[in-house]
Amino acid sequence: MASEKITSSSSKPIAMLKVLNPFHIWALGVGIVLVGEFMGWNFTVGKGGAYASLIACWVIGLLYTCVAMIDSEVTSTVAAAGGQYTQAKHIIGPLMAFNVGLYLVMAYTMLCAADALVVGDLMKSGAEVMGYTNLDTKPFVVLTVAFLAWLNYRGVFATLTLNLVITFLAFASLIVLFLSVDPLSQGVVLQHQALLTDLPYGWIGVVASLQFGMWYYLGIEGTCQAAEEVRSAGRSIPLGTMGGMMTLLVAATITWFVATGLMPWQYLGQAVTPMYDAATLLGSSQLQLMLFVATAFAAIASANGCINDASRAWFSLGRDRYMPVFFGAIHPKYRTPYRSVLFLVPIAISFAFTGLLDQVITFSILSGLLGYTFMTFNMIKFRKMWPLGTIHRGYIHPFHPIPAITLLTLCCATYFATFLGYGASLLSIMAFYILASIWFVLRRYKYVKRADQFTMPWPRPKGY
Amino acid sequence: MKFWDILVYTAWSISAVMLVWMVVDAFMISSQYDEEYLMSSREGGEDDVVHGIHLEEGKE
Amino acid sequence: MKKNYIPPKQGMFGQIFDTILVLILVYASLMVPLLFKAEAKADATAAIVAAAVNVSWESLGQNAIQQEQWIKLGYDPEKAAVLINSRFDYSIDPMMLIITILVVAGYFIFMLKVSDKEYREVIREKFDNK
Repeated sequence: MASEKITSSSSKPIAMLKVLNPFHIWALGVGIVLVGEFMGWNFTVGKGGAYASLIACWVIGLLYTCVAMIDSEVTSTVAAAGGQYTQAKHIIGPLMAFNVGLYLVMAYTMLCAADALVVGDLMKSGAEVMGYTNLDTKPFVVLTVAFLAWLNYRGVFATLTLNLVITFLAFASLIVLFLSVDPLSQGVVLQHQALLTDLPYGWIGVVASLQFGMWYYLGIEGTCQAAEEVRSAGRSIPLGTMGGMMTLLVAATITWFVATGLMPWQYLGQAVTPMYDAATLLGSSQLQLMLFVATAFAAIASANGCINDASRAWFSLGRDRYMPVFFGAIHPKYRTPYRSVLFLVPIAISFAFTGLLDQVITFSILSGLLGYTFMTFNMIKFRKMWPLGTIHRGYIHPFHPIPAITLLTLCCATYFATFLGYGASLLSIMAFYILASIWFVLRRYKYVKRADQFTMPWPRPKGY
Repeated sequence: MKFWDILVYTAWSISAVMLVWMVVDAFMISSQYDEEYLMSSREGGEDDVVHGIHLEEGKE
Repeated sequence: MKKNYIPPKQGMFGQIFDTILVLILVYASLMVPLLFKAEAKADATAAIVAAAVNVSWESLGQNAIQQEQWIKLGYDPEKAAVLINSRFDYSIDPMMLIITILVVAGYFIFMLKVSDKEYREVIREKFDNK
């Protein structure tokens, strides 16, 4: 049998298809994040009040602008499917790379699970509006994950084109909602004067709200996972990422403005679907329907992008033998990392079925945060080991090292914010990464080929 | 009432069909193609424009 | 010149074992915080619910427009009181804070140290032994 198998006939290795353009990158980045404007961001209001939420929105916006700048420079130079994982491998070293790979897989798989849960809950509340209570959410959670995995399995172009369409529609619905509340005339629909209160917890509440402030943008850095599938990665990825960041800053501010002008903060701080509630308060059934569909689209786009990113990261870990090499295969017809896509399906579903939504979300946020902390010393070492001019950079970010230092400071503040109220989760998640690291050093690294990890055609780094 | 029951069953069956299709396809691929070939991708494709520039500059 | 390191091939069983091990670690770290949290949360909620009898919008400090929006959202004063009176506790336990800082900082220092050692080996093989 073995002799009949198709082997690499022209000795040309298999590779993923390069078919994406900057719009797909925008859709991948914004698509993952936009669900955060429909739900989740409002927990900042619960942790510190309405004004704290706005401050968190902008401070964390600054954090992500630093992330986008740093990431654009490194990614435009290290263009590979693992994204930050490949960067870590080339700049910091294997153990860091293994951890970064795990951050990516965990952050995206958990976020995917949360998104699928949202779709299920929406179906349930939709059924309630139409007079059917106790709809079972499970089949819709499974269907969401299964359908998106199937799409991802069959090819990246269709996957991200779908994301482009539904992300755009979801974003447009936020703009429509904003215009329909008559934003310029206060006191008619919007009641900011009456609803906005002083900071209920004082300034410590502002710091505490930074934790969920990450929901406004979490996942935008996933754009660089598409580096092996985009045409001219050095140009498209910075363009798509920066464009995405601007979209999100606008969307986040609009979201805050509309929601805080309609709901008392104590309600808003715990609402499950705040934008849908906002539409309900406006009393228009068309708006309500639009926000229902838009929330579903945002959740599907996010889950879709998450499957895409998590599978690329898992695939890269397998390709380098950091994880079982079995996962490093590419589908000969669809050119996707099909085994990784398939493997993550039961995992995402099982996370969704644990029912530990806030635990899952905290894990996702913290994995993201650990990744941003890594970016700070990654950037500083990158400029030190290959100073400007020694290798070609697709994009060079200005004001180095100010963005890196700002990013590190904001990361520390966000760890502290997580400590306030979620300290036990923080420690347990750190324990996971520490145990995984020890396991990697003692058992896993022996399967890795040393020199093969360094794939960039760069000169020897300074100081090594 | 009936509509929602049918919807639930439909959702379960479509999910099952898609999952089974993917698993079957993955097995077919493993039996048709050589493992070495499926694993042969390398980081950073060789015909990449960006990497072409890297190579030239590396020689300087 | 040192010889290049040649890794052993991992069998199918080992690959499956390693994958399952990572998954078990993930589920464990998701479950552990629940052991600490569940009880404290239940007690606090019960206390708030008990306190939420005979309240009015005025005693909750809600102005006219706030009241109007609460009512539109389908809340009466007693239901709203549960949300209004449940507050985060931001008192800081210095011992826990120090432990957390040490864990996070220690994790990164350990990682950078080990990574650097492994990285030097990679660079040596890559650039010295062609």
